[in-house]
Amino acid sequence: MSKPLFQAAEVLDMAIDIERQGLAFYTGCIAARASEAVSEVFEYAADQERRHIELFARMKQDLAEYTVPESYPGETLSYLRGFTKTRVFSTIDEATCSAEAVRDELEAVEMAIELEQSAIAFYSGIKQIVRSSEQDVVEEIIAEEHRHIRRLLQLKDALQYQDD
Amino acid sequence: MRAADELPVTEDITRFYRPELARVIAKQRLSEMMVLLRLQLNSAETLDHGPGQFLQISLPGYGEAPISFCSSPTRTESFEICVAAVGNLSQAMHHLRPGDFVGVRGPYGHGFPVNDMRGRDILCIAGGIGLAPLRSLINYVADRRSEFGRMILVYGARKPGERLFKDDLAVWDARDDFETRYTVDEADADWTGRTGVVTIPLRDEVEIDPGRTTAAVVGPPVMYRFVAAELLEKGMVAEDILFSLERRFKCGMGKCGHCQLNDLYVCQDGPVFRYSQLLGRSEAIEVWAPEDERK
Ligand SMILES: Cc1cc2nc3c(=O)[nH]c(=O)nc-3n(C[C@H](O)[C@H](O)[C@H](O)COP(=O)(O)OP(=O)(O)OC[C@H]3O[C@@H](n4cnc5c(N)ncnc54)[C@H](O)[C@@H]3O)c2cc1C
Ligand code: FES
Repeated sequence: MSKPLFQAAEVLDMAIDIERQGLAFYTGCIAARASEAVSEVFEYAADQERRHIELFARMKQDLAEYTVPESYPGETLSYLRGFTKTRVFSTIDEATCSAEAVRDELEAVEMAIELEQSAIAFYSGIKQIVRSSEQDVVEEIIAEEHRHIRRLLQLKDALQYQDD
Repeated sequence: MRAADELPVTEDITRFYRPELARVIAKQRLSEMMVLLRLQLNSAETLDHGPGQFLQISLPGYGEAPISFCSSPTRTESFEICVAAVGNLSQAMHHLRPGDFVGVRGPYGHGFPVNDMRGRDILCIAGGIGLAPLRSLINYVADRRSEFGRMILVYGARKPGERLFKDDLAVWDARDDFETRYTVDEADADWTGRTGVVTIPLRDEVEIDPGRTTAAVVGPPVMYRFVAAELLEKGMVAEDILFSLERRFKCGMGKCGHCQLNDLYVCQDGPVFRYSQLLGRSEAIEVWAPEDERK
């Protein structure tokens, strides 16, 4: 009986999915006629998600050979999921639909913050399973997601202030 | 606790090379895969082991393998091992009955540094059959309770049916001076407890004073890097995090090199290592990706 093996590449597919969902959400919101202020931040975030997709795809190529014995199939993924309390979207379609369904810009920004937070939690888990040379890249992606959150928080403040 | 290489020269060291006979005095099935065997040396001597150390157990015609003690050295009348039926020897051991004999060599290796742990808070994190070696430490702390600070146990099994030592789990849970968090990865219809891997209750439900705490971690290899990340996040330093590692052993006593991890022999320098010893060693795949640039 061969032992189940964790394929590191599978996890990077999940990271790529998270980025794609983020991208779909940001572009969906821009298409739904976001204001100039929101579009500017969402376009910046969408551009970075595109770059992250490329970075994770490159890491996946390098990690194709990397396997770790598991005591049951899916064990490593369970630990990785443990890092994220919630996944905001499960599919790209769901992300696009949510972008279309948001009530107002404030809700869109709040959802974006949640999306970035759950991505950061997941990538903190990924950092544990990639080579040390790749850990810096994951760190950089995490730092960028933190920057998105900061800009989104500023935007949220501005929108709330506008509403008052 | 003594490792094989620290024995006084006057002591009879032949016992480390020659298996002694031990009699099975009780057998209990713990789960589909696991049995608990209570053994007694034929010579009626005690092995004087430390928590986290192991024995080389043999059955003529089947082979020899390292198996951890799962009983505390404070309980001297017999010793216990817990065996998973995974191969030739271990399956044969599942067929042993009270009155049968096995060969034992040891105790070997560096176990948990209980002297350094005295006075500190102990955080045990067990995954799956990793509870077996930790049970030795947990009951050691239980029997010398006043010598240690807080005792926290986080235990995760894959399924409720795979939980080991259910009686002990209930006893530890009922103690006022133990803090327990039990979880399963996959619940069944009867399970009413927590669900999810051990790192979830560890993250959400365990508060520690990182400067006072020593963590003892035993479980499947994939668990280690995630637990390490959580513990560092809680402010612990790598020196205070202890991992017990598993490798293929042959001699079990630093002679054959089968168990080598970079410049360390897992059988002799371990099996319990401080996380700080593993950092930077490329073959410690539990905590690092292999083919790493670290050497
Ligand atoms: C310090 C230490 C403590 C341990 N404590 C315990 C314990 O308390 N309880 C317990 O049940 N087990 C314990 N083990 C594990 C146990 O020693 C092994 O599972 C042992 O191999 C069982 O022997 P076996 O003859 O039954 O199985 P084996 O025939 O050795 O096969 C066991 C498994 O290993 C695989 N395998 C066999 N040969 C190789 C090889 N050369 N390379 C890689 N994989 C191989 C087999 O496919 C099978 O899945 C411990 C191991 C160590 C190092
Ligand atoms: S098993 Fe022989 S040196 Fe470790």
